[in-house]
Amino acid sequence: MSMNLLEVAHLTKRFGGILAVNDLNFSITKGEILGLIGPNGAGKTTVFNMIAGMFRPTSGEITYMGEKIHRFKTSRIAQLGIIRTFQLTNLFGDMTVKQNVIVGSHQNLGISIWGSIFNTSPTRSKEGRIDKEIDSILTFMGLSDYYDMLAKNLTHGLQRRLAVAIALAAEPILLLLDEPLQGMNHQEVKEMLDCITAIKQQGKTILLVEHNMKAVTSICEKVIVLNFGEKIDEGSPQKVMQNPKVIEAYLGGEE
Amino acid sequence: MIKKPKIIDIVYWAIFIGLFFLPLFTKESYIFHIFCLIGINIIFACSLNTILNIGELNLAQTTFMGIGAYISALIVMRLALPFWIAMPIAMMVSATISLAIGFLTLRFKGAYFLLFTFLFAELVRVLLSNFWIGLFGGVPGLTNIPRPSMSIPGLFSIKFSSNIEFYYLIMILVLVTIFVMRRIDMSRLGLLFKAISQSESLAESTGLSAMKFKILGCAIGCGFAGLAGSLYAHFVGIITPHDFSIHAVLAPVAYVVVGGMGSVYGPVLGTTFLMALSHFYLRQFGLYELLIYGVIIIMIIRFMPEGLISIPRNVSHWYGRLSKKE
Repeated sequence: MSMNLLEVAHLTKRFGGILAVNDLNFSITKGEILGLIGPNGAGKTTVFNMIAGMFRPTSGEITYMGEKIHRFKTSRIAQLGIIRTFQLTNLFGDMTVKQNVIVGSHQNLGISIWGSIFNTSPTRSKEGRIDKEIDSILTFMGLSDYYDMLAKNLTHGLQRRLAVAIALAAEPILLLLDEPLQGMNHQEVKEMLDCITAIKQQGKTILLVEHNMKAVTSICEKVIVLNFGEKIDEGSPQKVMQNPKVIEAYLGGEE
Repeated sequence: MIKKPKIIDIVYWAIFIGLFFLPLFTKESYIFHIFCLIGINIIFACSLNTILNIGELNLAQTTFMGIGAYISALIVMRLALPFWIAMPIAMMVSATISLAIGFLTLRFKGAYFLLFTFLFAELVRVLLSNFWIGLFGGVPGLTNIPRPSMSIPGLFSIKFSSNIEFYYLIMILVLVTIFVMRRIDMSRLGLLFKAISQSESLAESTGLSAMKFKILGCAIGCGFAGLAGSLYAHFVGIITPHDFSIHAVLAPVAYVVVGGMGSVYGPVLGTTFLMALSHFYLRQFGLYELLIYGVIIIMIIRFMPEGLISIPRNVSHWYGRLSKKE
C-alpha cells in the first residue's frame, strides 16, 4: 500500500439536493497516468476540486502521502505538491509568458520584502537560478519563442500549454490536468500528448480528466469511469470500453 | 543583470532636479504650500495604488492616514518626543492596525470589502469625535501641532517652520516613497501582487497564499498612508476627524485613476496634474471651479481609460498610424 500516492475513500459531495459525487473510492500509484472519464456532469471536475482543496467534501477522506488533506486550503495543498490546471483557460492574461511561469515557480523563490526592495545579492542569485529553471520549462513546453508575449495574445493551443508550464514550474509531485486537450486541433492534441508523456517520464504522477477517448486510450494505463457521481468501472482503457455499462453511459440507455 | 534605465526614469529624475532648484526662482509661500500638499497627496496616492494593485479598493485608506496623523501628533505633543521618532512610529502603528483589519476584512471581496472598510472608517471617525475627548480633542481635533525641527549641536539646526524648508523635507520623503514603490513594482513581490489581482484561483493553485500577500500589500500601503498622515499633521498644524473621513478618500481615488492605475508613476502624475490644475488654474472660475474640474476628470476617464500615463504610448501609436497612411 505504500506505493499509493493518493487515496480517495468514500468521497461524497452534495450541492443542496444534488449528489455530485457519491461514495467514490480510488487510489493513484506513484508514477502512473490515471484517467478520469465519464459523460458531462458525471462529477469529474468536482472530484478535482475536492482533491485540489477548492471544495470541502461532504463526507469521505482524501489521503496524500499518509496525510489527510481534505480540510486543507488550496494553497497549502499546492505547497504539498498537488498542482492543478483548469478546464477553462486560466492565465495571468496581462503578464508575459515568462512572468506567468515565474509566478508558478514562486514557491521555491522564498521572497523577502527587503531582498526585493534593495535587490540584495542572495535575492539576485536565487532569481538567476530560477530563471534558468524557467527557461528549461518553457523550452520543454515549446514556448521558448514567446517569452515576452502577453499571455492573453497567445493562440488557444499555446495558452493551454502555458497553463501546463505554470503548473510544472510549481514543481508538482501529483499533477491534475483538467481537460488539457479541450478545444485543440489535431496537431495541437498530438503535441500536448507528447508533452504529457514526457512529463510522466520525468517521474511525475498525473491524474487526467479528458473527453477525448482516443487520447485517453493512448496515454493512460488505467482509467476510472464516472457516471452520475458514481464509479461504474475501473481498469485498462481497452477493458473498460468493452463494459456494456460504460457504453451505455456514453451512448445513452435503451429505454 | 543590469537593467537599462527607462526614459520615464530619466524624465522623472530631471523633474526632481528641476524642482530641487525651484526656490531659486520664486519665494512665494503659497506656491510651496501647494507643492507640499501635492507631495503629501502623492505619498497617499502611491499608498492607495498599492492596495488597488492587489485588486481591492480600501475606503478606509484615509483612516489609516488619520491614524498616522493622530499618533504622530500625540507623540510629539504629549510625550514631547521629536518628529523623527514619531513619524516612523506612526507608520508602524498604521501598518500594524491594517494587518489586523486586513486579516478580518480581506477574506471578503469586492463590494463586501468596500462595505467593511467603509464601516471601519466611520467607526474610527466616531471614536475620534466622541470618545476620550481629552486625548483626541473631539470634533475640533488637535491644534497647534508643532513643525518638526532638526539640530545637531554645534553643527547645524533646521526648523522646518517655513514652507520652503518643509518643501525639501517632503521632497525627500516623496523620493523615498517612489523609490520603494518602484522597487516593489519591479521585483518578484510586485509580480505576485499583480498575479493575485489577475487570477486569484490560479495563484492559489500554484501554492500562493493569496490572503497572506494581500495582507502584506495592504500593510505596506497603509504604512505609507500613515507617513502621509504624519506629514500632513505637522505641515498643516491642525487635524480634525473630518479630515480623514470617508469623503477624503474620493479625491485621491480620482488622482490614481486619472494618472493611471497599476503603474508607479501614474498616481504621481495624476496627483500633480489634478492638484496643480485645481489650485493654480481653476481658482479663477469661482463657483464653476468644481464643475469644470469634474468635467475634466470625466473626459480623461472617457478618452484615456488607462490614464495620463498612457499618453506617450498613445501618441506614438497615433503617429505610427498616421505615417503608415501616407
